[in-house]
Amino acid sequence: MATITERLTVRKPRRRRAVESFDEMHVKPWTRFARHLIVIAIGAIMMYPLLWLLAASFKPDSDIFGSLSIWPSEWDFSHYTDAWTALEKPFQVFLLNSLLLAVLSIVGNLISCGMAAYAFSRLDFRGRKFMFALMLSTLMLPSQVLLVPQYVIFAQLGWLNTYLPLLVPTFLATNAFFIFLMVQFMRALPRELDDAARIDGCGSFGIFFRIIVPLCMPAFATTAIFTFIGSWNEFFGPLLYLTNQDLYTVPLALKQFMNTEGQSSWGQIFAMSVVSLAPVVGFFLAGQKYLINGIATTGLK
Amino acid sequence: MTFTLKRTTTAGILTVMGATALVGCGIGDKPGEAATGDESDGSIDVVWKGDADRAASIQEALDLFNESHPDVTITTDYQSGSEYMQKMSIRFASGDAPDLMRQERETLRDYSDRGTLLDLNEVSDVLDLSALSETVRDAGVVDGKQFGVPGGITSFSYAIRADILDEYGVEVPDMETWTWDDLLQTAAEVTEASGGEVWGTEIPVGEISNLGIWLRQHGEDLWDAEGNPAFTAGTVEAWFDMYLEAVDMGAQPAADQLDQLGAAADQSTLGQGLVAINSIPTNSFAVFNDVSGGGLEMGYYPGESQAEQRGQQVIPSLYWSISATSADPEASAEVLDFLINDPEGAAIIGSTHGQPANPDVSAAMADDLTEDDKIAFDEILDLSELDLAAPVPDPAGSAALRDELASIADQVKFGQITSAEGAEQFVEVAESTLGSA
Amino acid sequence: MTVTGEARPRLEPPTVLPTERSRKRRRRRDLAGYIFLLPWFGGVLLTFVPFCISLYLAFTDYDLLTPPTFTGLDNITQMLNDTRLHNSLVVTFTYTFVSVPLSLAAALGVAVLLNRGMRGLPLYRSIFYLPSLLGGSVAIVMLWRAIFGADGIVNHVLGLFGVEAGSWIQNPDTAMGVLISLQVWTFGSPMVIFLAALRQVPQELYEAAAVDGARKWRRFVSITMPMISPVIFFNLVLSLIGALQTFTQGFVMSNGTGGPAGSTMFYNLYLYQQGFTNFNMGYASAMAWLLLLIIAAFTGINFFAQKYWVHYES
Repeated sequence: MATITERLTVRKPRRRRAVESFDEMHVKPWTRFARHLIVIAIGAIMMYPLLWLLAASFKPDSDIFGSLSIWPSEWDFSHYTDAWTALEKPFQVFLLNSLLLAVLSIVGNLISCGMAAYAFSRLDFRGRKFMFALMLSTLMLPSQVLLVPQYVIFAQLGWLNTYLPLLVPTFLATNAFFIFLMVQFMRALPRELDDAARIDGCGSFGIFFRIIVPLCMPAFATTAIFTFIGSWNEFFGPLLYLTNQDLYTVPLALKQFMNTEGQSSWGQIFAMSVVSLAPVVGFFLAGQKYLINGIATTGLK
Repeated sequence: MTFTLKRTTTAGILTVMGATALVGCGIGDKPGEAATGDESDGSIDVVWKGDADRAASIQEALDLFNESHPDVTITTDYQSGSEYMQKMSIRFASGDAPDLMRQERETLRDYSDRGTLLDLNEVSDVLDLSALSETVRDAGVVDGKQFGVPGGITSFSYAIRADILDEYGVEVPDMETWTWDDLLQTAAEVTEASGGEVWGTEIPVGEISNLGIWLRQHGEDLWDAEGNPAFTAGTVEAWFDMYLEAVDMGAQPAADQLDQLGAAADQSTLGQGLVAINSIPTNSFAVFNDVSGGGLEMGYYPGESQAEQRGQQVIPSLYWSISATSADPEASAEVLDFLINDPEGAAIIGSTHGQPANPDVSAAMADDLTEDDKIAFDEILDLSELDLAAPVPDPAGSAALRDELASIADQVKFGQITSAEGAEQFVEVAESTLGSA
Repeated sequence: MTVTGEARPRLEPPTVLPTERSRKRRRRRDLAGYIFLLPWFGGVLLTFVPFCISLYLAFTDYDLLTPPTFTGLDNITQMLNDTRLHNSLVVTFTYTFVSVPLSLAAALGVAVLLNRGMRGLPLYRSIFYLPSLLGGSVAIVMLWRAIFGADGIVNHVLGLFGVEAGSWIQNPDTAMGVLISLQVWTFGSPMVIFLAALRQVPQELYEAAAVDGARKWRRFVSITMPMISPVIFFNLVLSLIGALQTFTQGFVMSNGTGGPAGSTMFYNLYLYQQGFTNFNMGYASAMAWLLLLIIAAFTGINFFAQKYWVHYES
């Protein structure tokens, strides 16, 4: 792609113009068309499996694997209605449970990881390097290492069959990924801002709340979105700690559909997959506007 | 106090050691030690494996139990698929074992050998197993102790899509006397007659229960009563060779030509009409026949009548067991007794677990069965009357063996190793995993 | 906001001696840090204690049902001789070192493409990002099984071109490829981060370079790459760590068997089998620690190498 555009723009005179991006100046309509085409093609290939999934959820079982088309020849809505009530509880129970967990996880992560990231990136204290390395090393921890001992700990605390084992870690900054993300972000912010605030009389806390937090909104937004997805898709943790069906989350409920013994209907599986994936998509679509704005206002110009 | 690195580290290590000791005690709290076991909170925890439909029936049956035993509170949980056993092991590990649970054929001894299951003879005043046949009852006995009660009995049988064979003008073999050669022959005919649309059969070469049947037909077995390997490489090699021969003859598809989407009937190759003859769990006949449009016929395995010893077995489809640390073994045994012996309860659960282990109960159910379920029941009854090897609980470590066979079979299928090499490998694995239990 | 950086913050009254003053200052400074890290300290306890327990377990024989028995270095000797473990390492490394570069390259490529100010950018970005939201879910892996199965979409399409193919997921030679394709399909996640980083590259740099006569590709290599190198580094490190720990995809695709013929037996899948199916939790803990060391080694190499190619704006 670069070579095409390069070849074509080599003789253009260079002049400054107010355009969205620098490279825009040198683009011929031909190139723009080609670029659009490539992007659309990639996009289509990427989307096809999902569209097929969506279509399959509306096809009668016999048609599902028979055809490639993403438009059902016969519309069958029964998968949705059947599957919604197929489990012990109607599906909205699971949706609400997952939502509750996700929202609380977001709150936990933002607060605890934000605070930790600030400490690592902006404050100086004894043992900082050591602790930072320690924090990073937890990134490399395969979850299996902690699995059984953590379960025993939570069992001794009496937290089994509650959401506590799933939520308390988010309030304790255990997610090094987000701390790392925020640290990288905060490091990019110029220290002059901190110094200026200090001159104005702000202590570390003030700097954190008044300067860093507002500027880190894009990182926070990203954290929120990733937390939502992670929490929504989480399977293993809820599986271990939740025994009461009332507390089940969506992935657990979904797995109940895919059982190896009785008759599992692919149509129902696909239908409930669509239902479980829809909020994720919705959240992202709603959140991405925020992402754009956040990134746009970050520029320190 | 300044936070020197040294001091922080020391403090950290001390804390960790202390905490480790605390939690280590938690892990150490094991069935054998704690006489009190779990605290009795007046409720019995019952868990099983299955889907929502089965859960609904079992819940209904338990509710029926509660009507006559209102003082017993029952809490339940279930998972379908492999998560069930995995969660089970974690629950045991943290001292939170369920009271009454389903155990698999493959895992019973894994748990009982380690002393985590109750010897049901201790609650025989409440749990009455006298109605069960001796073979069935003994299927859950290890070293004279009853660690599990079969919750249902079943077997593996061969099934033929008679409708497909008729369609292509192939003669349906007599399933009482047919041989493995007959199977391959017929299957090859089907493939040819249908022009490749339908494959004749699929030899379940990587599936250990089937290998077991083959071994027994040749006078051997997977394991003996002590849990040691009881087969030779030569017989295993012959099993692999038969598969390869079937592929050559066109009786069966090559390794990557058909997908196994899932074990469920509607996802199976037999149910979808991609394969005409295959092995199925006997008690699933109704489901398979339904998916096959009613054209299914079921019968003995090939080679049964000519073999040294019949290979098929009547096996438990599951065990019910009680945990050794159960706070209320009597109440748990009462529930278990109900599940096994109560005709009404059994009628609610139906045939989801296979044929009820108690022949009186199953006879009482016979009239309410569907046509197809009746066929399945009759087949099992028939098998029970034959002279078959009595099933023994799978020795500890057999789960690994099961996986290994599948993997070795794959390698043979794709020509990565020869059948002789595969057989050798399998013998080696058996010796190392089974002997260690 | 302009800054002169002249005024010195006056924190202590002038009567305090210099050494005392600095120690007090340091303590107060430390305190701020520690307070902000309070939640994290709690988290460390929650992580570290099990961490140490599992280290202990790695040297034991633990079957979950009975107390662990200390066995010294037995597990380690077993690991050295365990061909299935070696195989799982090969599988995991292959997956990691193929899928990570591929997906990062795709992510960067598409991000660059999209960054040139296209109309409909938000739409395209959503389209590319969406798969990564869903990629790790059970539903999507099952979907991939359906797509690459003997009767799946891929074979239907190939059939249109007259190409006959078997099941991609049943064949040991191609099963891994299917999983790699799934991973690459989810390139949207690093892509979004790249996009954000690309946006932060100051336009003046490009303008200046163009004035100096630099061409497109040159500008990309000399300006874009260095400016976003911290982000590339970030994505690289995390992708590697994630890929080495793959579990769900292998588990669901092969129904927990790691098949066919062990071709999708990821390290974590084998670990899981050992721990939960074979009741070898001690061995599984040892395996978990080995994985930890491997990941630490790779991450260490990355961090060490970063001074050669990562450019930080300080």
